[in-house]
Parts: sequence; structure tokens; C-alpha cells
Amino acid sequence: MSNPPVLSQDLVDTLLVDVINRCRTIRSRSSVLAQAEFASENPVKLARLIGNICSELEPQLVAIRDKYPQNSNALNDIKLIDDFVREIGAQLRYIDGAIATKVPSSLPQPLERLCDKLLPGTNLMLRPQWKYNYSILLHDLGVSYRRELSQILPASAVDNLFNDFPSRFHIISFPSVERRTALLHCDLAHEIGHLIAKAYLLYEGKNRPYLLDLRRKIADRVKAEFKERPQLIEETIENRLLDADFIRWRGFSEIISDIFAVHLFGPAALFALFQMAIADSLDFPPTKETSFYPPWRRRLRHAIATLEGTNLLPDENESDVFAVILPVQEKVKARVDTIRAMTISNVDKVALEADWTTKIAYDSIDESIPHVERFLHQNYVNSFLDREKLYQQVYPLVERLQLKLPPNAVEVSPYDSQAADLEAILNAAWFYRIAFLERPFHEGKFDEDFQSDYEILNALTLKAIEYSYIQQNFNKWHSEAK
Amino acid sequence: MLDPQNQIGDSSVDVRLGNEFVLIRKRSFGTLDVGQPENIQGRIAKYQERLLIELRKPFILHPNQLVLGATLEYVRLPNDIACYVIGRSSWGRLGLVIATASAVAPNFRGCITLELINHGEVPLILYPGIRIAQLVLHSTKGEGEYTGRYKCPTGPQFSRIHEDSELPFWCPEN
Repeated sequence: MSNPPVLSQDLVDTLLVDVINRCRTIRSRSSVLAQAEFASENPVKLARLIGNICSELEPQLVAIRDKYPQNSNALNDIKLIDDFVREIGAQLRYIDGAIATKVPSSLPQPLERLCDKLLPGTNLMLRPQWKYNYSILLHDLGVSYRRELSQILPASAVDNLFNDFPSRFHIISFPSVERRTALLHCDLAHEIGHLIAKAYLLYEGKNRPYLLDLRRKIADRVKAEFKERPQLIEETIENRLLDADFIRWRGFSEIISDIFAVHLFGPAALFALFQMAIADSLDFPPTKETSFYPPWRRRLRHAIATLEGTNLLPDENESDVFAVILPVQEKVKARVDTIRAMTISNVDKVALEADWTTKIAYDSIDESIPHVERFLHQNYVNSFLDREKLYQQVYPLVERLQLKLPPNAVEVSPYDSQAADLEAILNAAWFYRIAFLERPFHEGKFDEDFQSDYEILNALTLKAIEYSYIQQNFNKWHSEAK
Repeated sequence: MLDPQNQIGDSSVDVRLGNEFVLIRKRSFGTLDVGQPENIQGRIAKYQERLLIELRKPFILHPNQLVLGATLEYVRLPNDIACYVIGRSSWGRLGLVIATASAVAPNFRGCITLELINHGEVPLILYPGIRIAQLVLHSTKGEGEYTGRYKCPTGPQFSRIHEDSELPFWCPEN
């Protein structure tokens, strides 16, 4: 005797009404969102994709309904679709957040271009989040959607949906409250770095020599600790190995991202990282409560070591053609010395080594850093910040900031103007801040003029990024049109 | 400047339209009373709506509509040069009026706010980036810092008329 249906047809129809209503609401909202003003095309593409998905799912729901109750899986299929519909409906918030007035509108297109240069075919969508955090969704949104839809729709229908949607689509987020704080947006290089870190860890995962080393060290330790209880040894080794591998992966993701950010944005990346670090606890060890996030001090240690290996810091022997050079050199050096001094302290190491599994994991990270550097150099060296290129631009840009001008170009005259690179603009902004804007308190009182100057600095930096991008595009068009 | 060859003329400098606009939300208030400065200051977000258009995308200005835009260029005037912002005659012939308040003081730095009104009969489609106005420069005598209210703006700025110090005399509270 067959099992009776879980729900009557009437009740299934009632459920279907709700699901179809959700599809139509999401389709309608995504259609409205696609008309909004964005700073780039990617949010529109995502809005259209979500709307089209809902259009495709509605007839599919009706078709499934027609098979019920003969097909006892139909109810599960309806619920599967409903779960997916709810998920993509919730993701409309990403698109809503990407509206031009809610993001630093000069950033999306230069970031997209940067990301495409590093990882061809990779697309980003920038959006604010209320949580105070910079983050990136590492999973490719298109791949996630395809995976779900392949269980629901025929392959041809799925392919059709993704005809106009970019491959490799990632959401990158910044804290909403910092929308206009251009200097902190250097942290976006770290977030892009997570894509690179993922690539490295995948590459490393193919052979996993480090895992053998972890296993050996853990086994030595566990065997010593569990001498009296040998029956627990194997299981404990496996559990500890899983823990160590995860702790290592978690810490390494952040550290590789920092290293990459420094290679990409130079000193600006270090200063932005430092600014975030001093707002937090420097030495909190990786724990379950923090998802094994590495201590900030450790991150700074690796970042400054990378920077010092790149020769991107101001040279004390630089020519003094520009009047700003000496104060910049002096103050930037002082800042770097401060960061270096902080990283000499071992407080984070002591905290971390209190747990031997964590110690083994982090020792493995330290041993693997040369492999990371080799990987980055082999694959991304053309995108690394070039010292000569940086210092050809940065001092004239700092001078422009002194004159309260956007640091968008190195300009001898209107007829002789070179659009500045994004990296040079960000470094000039940081150099200017460190050299000329470090007195927020005067005789114990908060200096409102400082605050005003800091806001102007951030506004000018964002303006420079916008104008430089336009200038590069216009010049390219102009030279092709001739 | 994107194209100095074409933008710098014999007696003026063409400037381009930026991509940020301030629209006035007519539906939000019946009157704008400068005699109640706390009213304006406190409710400025209700009066205005900021809009950012992607460059090279259209912005439609309807007949009799006033919007605030700004120059794409960030302008810096030395301490002995002032300028007037006036429309380009090509646009004027289509009914577009640029800058109802057009003088820019020496030492000003920033994107110049443009008051844009369509006096024509049909909606005008504007594209951020196009050359929309011109600066006519004048030499001035004397020196001094810019003391205006709008410091280093990078987009259109809503009015700060409520900061006029003698308003309490001329506009006694009701």
C-alpha cells in the first residue's frame, strides 16, 4: 500500500500561491532596482538575472504541481524552489546597497578594472554593509545560482539565463559608515587578496606537503600525551589535524590577503591595515569564538616584512625637488618605525602558543610564506606596485593635496597632464595624512579644523579616483578617434 | 582638464557637467522660509535628493525644472582671478540656463555648483561629461583667502542661506 500524500492538493496549491507570489514580488522589485542609478553595470546585471530566474521558476512550479500527488517528491521540489527563491530575494539587498548614492561612487569601476586585470573575467559588485567590516563573498554567485538551478531547470534553460551574466561574480562589502573614508578603502585590496589567497590554497591543496608535516608534529605530540591511553591516539591525531588545518587555513587566508594587498597598494595598504588594527585588540589569539581570526599584530608583522622586501617605502636619499619630500619621508618613516616596533613585541606569539595545535598551525604558516611569495611572483608580478612608477607620481600628488586639489594627475600644465594611477592616488592621500594631518587635538580640545581637513582629504581622494579614471578612458577614446 | 585644446578658448574656459545632482523634493514641503533657519538646516535631507548618474548616461531635465549640478572639473582660482560661470550659447538656444548665481570668488577651490533650469518647451537630455558652461575669468586687485561657505566641494552643494548672520534682523521669528 503506497503512503498517503503529506498534504492534500488544496494545501499544496495554497503553498504554491505563496511561492508564486514571492517569485512575482522579487521579479517586480528586481525590475525596479534595475532602473536605479548605479556606479557600474554589474548591479543591473545581477538584478536582471534574479528577475529572469523568477520568471523561469514560475512555470516550473506549476508544472511540478501538476505532477502531485502522483509524484511524491513534488512537494519537496516545491519547497526546494521556495528555499532558493527566498535566498535570492534576500540578495536583492546587495543590489539595493549598490545604488550610486550608497557607495563611494568613484570606486566601483576602477576596482572592477583592477580585479579583471588580476583575475581576468572576475567581476565585483561593491556594496555597503551595516556591520563594521570589509568583506568579500568568496563563492562565485553565478556558480552558486547555477548549482541550485541545475536541480530545478533543464540545462538549456539554465544556460540561457546566464547568457548575459558575467562569469565569476563576487560581492565585496565595506562598512556603510565609512562610505566617504577613501583612505580606509585601501582595505578593499585585502578583500580582493582573498580571491588570490583562495587560488593559492587551492594550488597548495593539490599536493599538501604541509599536511604531512602537520600530521607528523601532531602525532609526536599526541603520542607523548596519550602514552597511557593508546586507544585514543589515532582519533585524537585526526581531530587535532582537522583543527590545525582549519586554523592554518583561516589564519593563512588573512595573511596572504595582507601580503597581496601590500604588493598591490604598497605603503597605503599597510597604513590602512594598521588603522584597523589599532582599533581592535592586537593580540587576541585565534579561537572558536572569533572563527580563528589571526591576531592583528601577527598580520602587521607579515605586512611590514612584505613591504620592507618590496622597496616601496620612501627613500631617505630621494631628491628634494619637491618641498613635500622631506616631511613625508620623516613622518612616513616614523609611522613605519612605530609599526615595526609594535611587531617586535611577542605578546601575540605567547598568546597563540598557549594552545599547541594553534602553534603548530602558525609555525606551518611561517614556513610556507616563501612559497606564497613565489606563487604571487610567478602569477601576479605584473600587477605589483612598481617603485619607480609610484614615486614618479606620489610627491607631485601630495603637493596637490597641500593646495587642496584632487591628486588626480601629475600636471605640468593643462596641456601636459598624466592621469595618476589608483595606487599612487591612495598612497599620496596616506602620505599627506601622515605627514600633514596628525594634530587632531589642540590644547586638549578636538580640533574641528582637523576634522574638516580630513573630510576634505577623503573627498579629494575620491574625486581624484573618479577624475583619473575618466581621464584615462577619455584619452584612450581620443587617441583611437584620431 | 580632459581636453584643453578644445576647452580653453580665446576668452573663456569650457567646463563639463558632473554626474552628481541635487533634486528638490517639491512634495516634501510647501514653502522654503529662510527666516526659519533651523527649519532649513534640520530638514535639508528632506528638501533635497542626491542623485548620481553613471557617466555617459542620460539625465532628463524637464521644462521649468531646477536642479543643482556641478562641474566635472575641480577649479582652483588664484587670489587675483575671479570668474563668472555662464552658459554656452549652444545650450542657451535650447532653453537651458546655467548658473543663476554665477560669480566665483578668488581663491575658490572646488567643483562649481551649477543651477540648471530648463526654460525650453521640451525635456532636455543632458549627459554628464559634456561641455555645459564656460568660465569667464577676470583679474582682480588685492589679496585674501577665500571666505565663502563652500569649502572644496566635490559635488553640488545645497544652499546655506540659513547661515547669513543678519537673517534674525530681517526675518524676525513668527
